[in-house]
Amino acid sequence: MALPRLIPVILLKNGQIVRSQGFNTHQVIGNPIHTIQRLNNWGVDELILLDISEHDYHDMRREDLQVKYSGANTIDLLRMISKVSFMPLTFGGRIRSLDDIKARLSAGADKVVINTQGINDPGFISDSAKMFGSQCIVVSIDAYKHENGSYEVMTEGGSKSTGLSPFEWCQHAESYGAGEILINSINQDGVGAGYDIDLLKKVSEIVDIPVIGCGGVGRYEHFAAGLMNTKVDAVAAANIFHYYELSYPLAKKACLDMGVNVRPVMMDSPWFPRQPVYDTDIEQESYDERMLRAQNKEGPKPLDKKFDKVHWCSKCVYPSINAAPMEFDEDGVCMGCRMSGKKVDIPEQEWESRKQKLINILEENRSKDGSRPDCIIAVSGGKDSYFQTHYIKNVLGFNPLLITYYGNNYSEVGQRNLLRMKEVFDVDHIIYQPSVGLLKKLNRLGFEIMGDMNWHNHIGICTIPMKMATQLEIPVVIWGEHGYGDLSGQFSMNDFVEWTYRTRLEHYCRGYEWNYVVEKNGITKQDMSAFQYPSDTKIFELGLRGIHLSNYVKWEANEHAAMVQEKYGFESSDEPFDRTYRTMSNLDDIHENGVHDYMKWIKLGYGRCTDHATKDIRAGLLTREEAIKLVQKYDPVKPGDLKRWLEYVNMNEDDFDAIADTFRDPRVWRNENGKWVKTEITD
Amino acid sequence: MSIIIIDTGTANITSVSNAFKYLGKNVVVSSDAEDIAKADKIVLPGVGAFSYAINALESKNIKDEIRNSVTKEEKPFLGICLGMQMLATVSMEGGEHGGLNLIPGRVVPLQPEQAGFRVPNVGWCNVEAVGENRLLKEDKSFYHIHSYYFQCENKEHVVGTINYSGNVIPVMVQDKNIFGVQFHPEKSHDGGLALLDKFTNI
Repeated sequence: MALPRLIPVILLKNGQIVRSQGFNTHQVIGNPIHTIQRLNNWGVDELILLDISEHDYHDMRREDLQVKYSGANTIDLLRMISKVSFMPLTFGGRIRSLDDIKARLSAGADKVVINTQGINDPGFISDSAKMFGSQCIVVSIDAYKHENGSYEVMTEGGSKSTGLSPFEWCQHAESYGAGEILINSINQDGVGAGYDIDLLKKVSEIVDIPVIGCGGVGRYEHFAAGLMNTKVDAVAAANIFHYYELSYPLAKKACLDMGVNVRPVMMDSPWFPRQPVYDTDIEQESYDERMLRAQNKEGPKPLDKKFDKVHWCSKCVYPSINAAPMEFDEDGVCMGCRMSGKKVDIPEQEWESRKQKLINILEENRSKDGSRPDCIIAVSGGKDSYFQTHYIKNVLGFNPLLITYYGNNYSEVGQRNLLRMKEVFDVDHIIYQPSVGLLKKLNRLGFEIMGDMNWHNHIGICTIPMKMATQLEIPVVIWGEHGYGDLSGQFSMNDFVEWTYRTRLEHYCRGYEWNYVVEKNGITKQDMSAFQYPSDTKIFELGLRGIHLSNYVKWEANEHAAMVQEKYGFESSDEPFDRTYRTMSNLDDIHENGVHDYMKWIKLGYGRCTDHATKDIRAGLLTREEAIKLVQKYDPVKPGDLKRWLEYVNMNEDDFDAIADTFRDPRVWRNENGKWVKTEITD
Repeated sequence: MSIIIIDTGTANITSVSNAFKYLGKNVVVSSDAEDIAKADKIVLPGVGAFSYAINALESKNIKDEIRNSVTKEEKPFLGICLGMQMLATVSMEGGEHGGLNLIPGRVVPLQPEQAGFRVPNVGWCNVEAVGENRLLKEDKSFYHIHSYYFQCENKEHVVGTINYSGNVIPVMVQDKNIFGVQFHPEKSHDGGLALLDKFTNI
C-alpha cells in the first residue's frame, strides 16, 4: 500500500507565500523559492500550491536580493519552482479551463486542483479527467460546519454558499472522474486545534479514490491523529510548516513516534545541499555590469514599464515597496498595524500563561547535571540584550551564556554597554571577533554586491549563536523581538514563531549565503567557517530551538530602556544620530543607523526614521502628521559616519555614490535632469 | 553525451528535463527522428492515456527510429510511467492498443481486492529491487501515480516490485540496455535523482 503522505500546503498570493486564517486574513510570509527549496531539502512527500491571487500579475524584482526572479505571473512562478524541487507538485487556484490545466501541467505540476469551477460545471471535471487522466485531477472541497452540526460546501475561497453537502458532492466528483479529493475544514483553518476528524472520516469512507485531509493542524501530533482516526491517504497543513525549524522532519518524527508508518525523515541529502549553489558566471556578469553602470554613472537597470506605483499605509508611514513584504487590507492599513493592534489586545492573564510557556521550555532544556549553561542569549549589548538577560537571569532564575558577534563597528558607548554585561549580570560572555582583514573585505563586497555593507553583521549575528549552541550542546537560544516580521506583520501572536534557517537566509542575509563570497577578493572557505550554519542533522539531534522572547513577554521597548538604564547602568548615546530622532537603538554598529541605513533610503526611498516613527505611531506616541515631518527631515540625510566607512574600506565618495545609485529601485526613483527624485508620502 | 527526451506532448516532460539538467546533463527535448538518431541515450516520459501517447509516436513516424536505436544500436533507453508501459506488447487501457513491443508483456488495470487499496495508486511505495537491477541496488520508496501496470511475460525482465493489494506488481523492468520504471524518479527526491544518475552513467 502507498505510504500515508504528509503534505505541506502553500498559499500563494501575488507571488508571495501568505498565512491564512479563517480564509480571509492573509499575511505575507515570504518568497516561495526559499521555502520550497527548504521543503525539498526535507524530502516532502508532496506539495500542494494554491494560488489565491485576485490578479494574475505580481512584481518581485529587487536588485539587492539574491533570488532574482523575472516572472510576473503564476505560471512563471510554477516553472521556477519546478526547477528547484523534485517532488510531486499539486497546483490549484483560478483554474477555469482545460487550457489552464494544460499550462500548469506543462510548467511542472503533476496534478491540478479544481474547486469552484467543478461546482459551477461538473462536466469540467469529466472533460479534464478525459483529457489529462483522472490521476491528475484533484477536486478540492471547502466544507463549512454550521452551528446545527450540518456541513455545507462553500466556494470562492470559502465566501459563497452552495447548498451542497460535502458528502454527496465528493461522491459526485468521484463519479465525474476526480482522481483524488482534498477536503478542507473552513472552521478549523488557521485555528491550530487539530483536524475535523468527523468530516475527514466520513469523506474518506464514502469514496474509493484517495482523500487528502486538511485544516486545523497546530501541533505535530495532529498529523498522526488524522491518519490514525480516519481513512484518509494523506494529511495536509499550511501554517505549521512556515514558522519552526525542521518543521517537516519533526512532523514526520511525531508520526513515526506514534507508530504511523510514513516515509523516513530526510535531511542533509548530498543531492540537495542546503546552501544555495550559485552560478558563478552569471553572478560575475551581473557584478561586472553593475560596476560598469557605476563607472558610467548610469544608475539602476531600468525595469519594463509595467509595475505598481508605491503607496503608503493609511495608519503608519510604511511604503508598499518595502524591505519586508507588505500586505494591506481593504482600508489600506498594513498588516503590521493590524497585528500590532492584536498585540495590544492580549490581556494580562494571557501574558501570564505565555510566561509559563517560556518557563516550561527553559525548564525542559536546562542543564540537569551542571555540565553547561541553561541557555544561550544572543546579545549585541543593546537595550534589548540587557532586558533579555535581566529577564532570563534575574526574573526567571536561569543561567544563560551570552554570545556576541563583534562586527568591529561598535560605537564607544555601545562597546562600554557590551563589556559591562558580564559585570552587571554576573554571567559568562563569549564575544566572537572575526579578523579585521576579513571584515573589511566583507564590508566592501557586501556594498558592491547587494548594497549592504552590513551583510557580514546580519549573517554573523544570525549564525554564531546557533553554531555555538550546537558545539556547546545547549538546546535553546533566546532572541529578542521578532523584529522585522513584527514590523510588517508576518505572523499572528498565536504562531509563536521561532528561529529558522529560511528566515536567516531569505530575510537577514538577502539570499546570500556564506559561500557566495568564497573565492572573491581572496576569501577562502576556511575564512568563512564561522559563518557556516550548523547542519540540519546537528540541529535535529540536539533539538535546538531559537525562540523569540517577545512571544512570551509584553514588549514595551521604552519602559525596558528606562529600566535597564536605571538598574544596570545602560548608557544611551551621548550624541543624536544623523538619520533618526531616537538615541538608543543600534549602538553596536555605528553604520547600522548611518550609512547602512542610508542605503535603504537609496534603494527604497525610506529609512530608519520611518521604522522608528512607525513603531511610535503604533505605540500611540506619535500622530501620523508628526511622523511624516520627522520622516521627511531624517530619511534623506547623508550620514557623517560615511567618512569613517570609506576610509575603512579604502573607497572614495564619488565611487560610493555611483555604486549606490545602481541600487535605486526604479519603482521608487526617477532621474530628472540629473537629480534623483521620488514620489513623496504627501503627494 | 546527449540525452533525448522524446516529446509525446504529454505533461511531465518539463519535470523530467529539469531533473536531468539538475544532474548537469545535456538534454534535448524533441520528437524528431534525426535527433533520436544523434542522441546517445533515450528517455521516453509520459503521463495520461496510452492510446494518445502511442498515437503521438506513430503520427510523428518515430516508432521505427526508436526501435532501431534501442535494438540495433543498443542505446540505453529509459521509459518513465506511461513511457515504461509503452515498452509492452499491448495495453488494455481504453480498448486494446499495440505498444513498442520491446519487452513482451501486457498493460492491465490495477484491481484492488483488499480494503485500503485505491485506484489510482497514488503515493510513495517501497520498491523492492530484485534480480540484476542495474539502476537500484537497495529498496527505496518512489512516487507512484498509476491505474494500470505492466505484466511481464518473462519474469527475468522484472527487476523491481511493489506490493499492491496482496499482489506483487512489477514497477521496474529491464532487458539489457532497456529500462522502464512505473514510478516517477523525477519526482522522487534523492532516490529518484540517484536512479536517473545511474542511468546516465550506463
